[in-house]
Amino acid sequence: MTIISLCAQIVFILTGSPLVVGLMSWIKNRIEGRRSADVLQPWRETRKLFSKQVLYPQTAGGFFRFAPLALFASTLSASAMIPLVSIELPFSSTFDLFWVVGFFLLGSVFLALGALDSGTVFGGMGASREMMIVALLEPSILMSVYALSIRAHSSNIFAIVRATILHPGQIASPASALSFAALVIVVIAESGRLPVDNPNTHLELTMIHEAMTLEYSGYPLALIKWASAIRLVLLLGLISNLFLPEGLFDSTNLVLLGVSVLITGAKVTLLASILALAEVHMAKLRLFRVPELLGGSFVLGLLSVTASLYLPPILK
Amino acid sequence: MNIIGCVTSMKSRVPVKLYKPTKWFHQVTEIQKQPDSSENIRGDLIPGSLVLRHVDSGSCNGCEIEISGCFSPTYDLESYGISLTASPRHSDGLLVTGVVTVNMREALQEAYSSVPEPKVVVALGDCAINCNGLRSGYGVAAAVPDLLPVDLEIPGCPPSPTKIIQSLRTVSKR
Amino acid sequence: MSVDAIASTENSHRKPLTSFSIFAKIANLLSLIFSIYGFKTGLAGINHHFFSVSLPWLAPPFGISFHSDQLGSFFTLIIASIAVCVSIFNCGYIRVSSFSAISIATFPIFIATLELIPLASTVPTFLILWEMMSLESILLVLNHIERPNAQRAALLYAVLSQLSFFSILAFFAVITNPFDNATFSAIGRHASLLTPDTRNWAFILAFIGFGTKAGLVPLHAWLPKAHPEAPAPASALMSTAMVSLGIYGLVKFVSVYLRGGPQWWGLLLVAVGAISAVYCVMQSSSSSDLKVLLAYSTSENMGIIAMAVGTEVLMTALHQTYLVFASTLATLILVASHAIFKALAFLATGVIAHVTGTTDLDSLGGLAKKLRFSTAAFGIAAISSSGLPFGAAFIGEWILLQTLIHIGPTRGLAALAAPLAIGAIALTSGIGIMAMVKAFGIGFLGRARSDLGELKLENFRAMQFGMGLLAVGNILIGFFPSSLTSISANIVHGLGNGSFGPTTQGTSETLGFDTLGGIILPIGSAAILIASLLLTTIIPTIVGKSHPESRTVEPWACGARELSPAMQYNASSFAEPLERVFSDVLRPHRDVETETFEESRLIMSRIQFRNTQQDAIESALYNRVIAAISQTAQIIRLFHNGSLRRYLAFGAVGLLAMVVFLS
Ligand code: SF4
Repeated sequence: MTIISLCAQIVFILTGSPLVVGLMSWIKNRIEGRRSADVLQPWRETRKLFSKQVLYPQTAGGFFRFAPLALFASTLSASAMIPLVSIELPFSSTFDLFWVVGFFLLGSVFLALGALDSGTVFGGMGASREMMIVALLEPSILMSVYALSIRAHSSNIFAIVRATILHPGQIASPASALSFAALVIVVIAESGRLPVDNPNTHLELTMIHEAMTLEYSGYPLALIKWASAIRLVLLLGLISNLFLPEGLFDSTNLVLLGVSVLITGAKVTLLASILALAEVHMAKLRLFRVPELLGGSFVLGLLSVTASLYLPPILK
Repeated sequence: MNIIGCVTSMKSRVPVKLYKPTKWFHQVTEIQKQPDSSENIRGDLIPGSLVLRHVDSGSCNGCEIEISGCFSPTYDLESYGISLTASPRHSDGLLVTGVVTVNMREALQEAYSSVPEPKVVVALGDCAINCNGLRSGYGVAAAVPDLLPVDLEIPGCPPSPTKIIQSLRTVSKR
Repeated sequence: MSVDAIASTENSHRKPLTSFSIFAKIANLLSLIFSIYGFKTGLAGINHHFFSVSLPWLAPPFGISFHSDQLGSFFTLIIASIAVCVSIFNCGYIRVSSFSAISIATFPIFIATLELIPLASTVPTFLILWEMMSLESILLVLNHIERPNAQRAALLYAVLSQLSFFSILAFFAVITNPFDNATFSAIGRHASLLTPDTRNWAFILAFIGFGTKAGLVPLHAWLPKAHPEAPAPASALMSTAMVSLGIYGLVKFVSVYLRGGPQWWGLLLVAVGAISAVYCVMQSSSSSDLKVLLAYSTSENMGIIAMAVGTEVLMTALHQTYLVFASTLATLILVASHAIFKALAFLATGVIAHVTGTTDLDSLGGLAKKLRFSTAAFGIAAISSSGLPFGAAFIGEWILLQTLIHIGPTRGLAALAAPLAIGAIALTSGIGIMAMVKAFGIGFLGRARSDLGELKLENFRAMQFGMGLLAVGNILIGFFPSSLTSISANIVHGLGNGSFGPTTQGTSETLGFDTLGGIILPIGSAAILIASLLLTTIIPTIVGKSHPESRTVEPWACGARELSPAMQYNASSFAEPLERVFSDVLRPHRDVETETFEESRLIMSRIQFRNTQQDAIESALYNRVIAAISQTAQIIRLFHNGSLRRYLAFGAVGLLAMVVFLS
């Protein structure tokens, strides 16, 4: 049964992630007063890219070719380690949050190495900026993990979610609010959304993630785009289930599984819509203002840790 | 890391005023039907999405103004699955404007070879199609069809956004 | 630090080897024998078959004696494992690189000394070996004695290692019982009877002495200077085995013999460790020489290990027995994994330096296409060291993080220790990833930044074998950590004399602590990753139709004629964003020189941009200390004018003063 939940989760993420990206741009477009393409547009693009020719620059080496596969595979692996549709998956007792966060990092590192391997200017530029953000984001991530692990006495994701289901009152604490705020910043930075990175820009001065992909074409490009969509959905799903695990069930029967899928889908949709609404009102931060934002997230995480160690939750 | 700076910067931000359209659907192109598939310009293209790399090979920028008009909320070219990109690697073809000048000739050909198959070439504006009477100019090398296999011509000097969108939709099939 | 100077270190083929080569062969054979014997001894030692030798006639009046324990054997085992691989590597390397005769002769003795130190059982033995180790490594740093950089590095290193030696000497003077013999077991008995003040002094002395050897800030300055000068196999040993002995000293003397100190010991260790880690990783990420980068990264890792030792001391003070166990375990695992990946990185760098004649990242690049094996080796080392999943460094760091997040509410300064320590570890590993991406991505991938000519490898078999062994070791630790953790857990149990109670350790491949509620299973995740890779390769065929044949094209240059390799990001530009963020700490120094044409001042003919990095601590602290010393020397010199009468007068004044004071 855990295998079935895993398959359901993977299918859910693979098919759903381009839709979420489509939904976000639909919402943004509608608010800007546009007619807008429908939510299926990212899917059309993915399908098209998979049928296109692949061009490899002469200067690139083997890493350039391998990087998109590694990025996609590590993101896919991470999606098999997060409680999105069930609180029990194969090996779920071994999915430590520190470990799973490492899979996101693994993807970023491979993409950066691939970009450096392209032997072009933009590849290096994107890699350098991306690695700066990764480096500065790491403290915020680990601090949020620390803050979350305190209430469950464990840093296992599934244990944290279970603990929240068992003691829902613990969520209503200042510590949770602070760690939620810290995690929101982490999620935004990690998924490359505004105000940290603008996924729609191609200007030298501003682009981070896009700069690394400029030399890619065909299915490797599709894999990269798809992987960042998956990453977005994973992070949104993770944050919603960490703080609001209602609707997650043990893998016992297919009906419950279906209900879980629907509820998680709804949660992710809701969060994505909120994120899109917020993005309309935002401009991208200057690259060198981003560390301030990440530093803010770190401090929030630190406060959350101190609060959860020394302040009791409001509701027992 | 200056956290105080971060907080003050958030405070001091001017609230953004949204552009509120009076009606949600007042687009000019909305009246047009989706083009039928008989107007197939190329069999091997995958319909639904068309990403173009725009190359200005010597235009007067009149065509560019109309192109940028296409992406405004009023016309919203992107809603038909058509968009522009910075890298020819990400694109399905070139959108060329203006006569091909001597200086841009090589760059144009290079851009063409940097686009993965299957690819289209769209010549936009009379200059791109037939030099618009400027062929004898000292810096003019050729019109686009002389150098590249043009799949779609959008005549006009400059063509209006409505026309551009209409023509491009025959390629994107949306 | 001048980069060209380093560049020529490894490549000036000094002598055609003839009679020299027999000498080199003997030296190699000796180092192989020593290291294999050391390996056997260490392996026997961790299984309670202790090595015990007593040579009372040697070095009278104390005699030399060895009697190992489990902890010492564990360190000998680590050192010897590295030494075996390095010796094998050296069989090939010694013939193609420019070892001086002295370095060749020193090398096997250095290996033997390193292996023997953890086995020493008396104070004199320990001190003699410790001083020998310092001298031998100085000789190795002086491999190119004619180079001013080498001389400067050796001088600095000599001063700092003497500082280390004297504080260790003073430490033993404070801690040994004058009425008992000078064996370590006697020290152990005596240590608990000392007054708190004496114990505090002993701790500080041990901290300075062993901390210097481990390269903790602010006494780290010798590391990034000495490593680029020593030949690669020697820096591999110095950067792994020798610094580990600093940690060995801290573990053995602070947390075993001085067990149960006050909280501030632990806090000091954690703080200094955290500062070392963060400071050195920043330096590492911004240095553009491969060997300097690796040397700073060693200091960084030692900082993290010092944090683990500090956590252990702190937990002992707070009586959290289980966390004492976990943090000691973290210490041992971190030492072992660091040794294995750093040795590999240094050896691969040695090959690069030998083949290309430089270790300057700004003129490397594109090695992946030419030196596949070395690139793979460095890549494995880089990934292992950056604390990513399946990397060797991850396991130790993870256990340390698990320890820290379980500390729970405490009072006083200790309450801040855990959150700040986690922040420091996180920042370190974040920037560490960047440093390694830079080292690997700039140095090995992309296009060659300068014309390196034909890259030829001679005698590569042995080098390949040595690096291959280390690479396999890295992969084993990354994917099957339980082999290492169960050994280490055994050692830690031995240290605690069973006081840690039952722990669930390493059943098959899981790694974790039930008490801490955390388990990871690298091999399970590896299965998931492989399945994902398979899925990734078939997805394109499911989703898309068949696509046209792929094509190799010119890189996209935005319409420009062509891209030159110099347009790629280089080491300095890669690190620039981070450098700017941390400019308060890193103090980047920029120099822009422009030359203009005769005809017009406005048209430039040449622009030169230089970005140099200074070690802020070094320039702030060391230069001041040196200035102060030379000032005092000036004053003293005033009295020293060589006149006999003045000296007699000094004597008389001194005598009078004594009389006055005594009466
Ligand atoms: S077609 Fe007309 S508007 Fe377009 S570039 Fe030529 S002259 Fe300008």
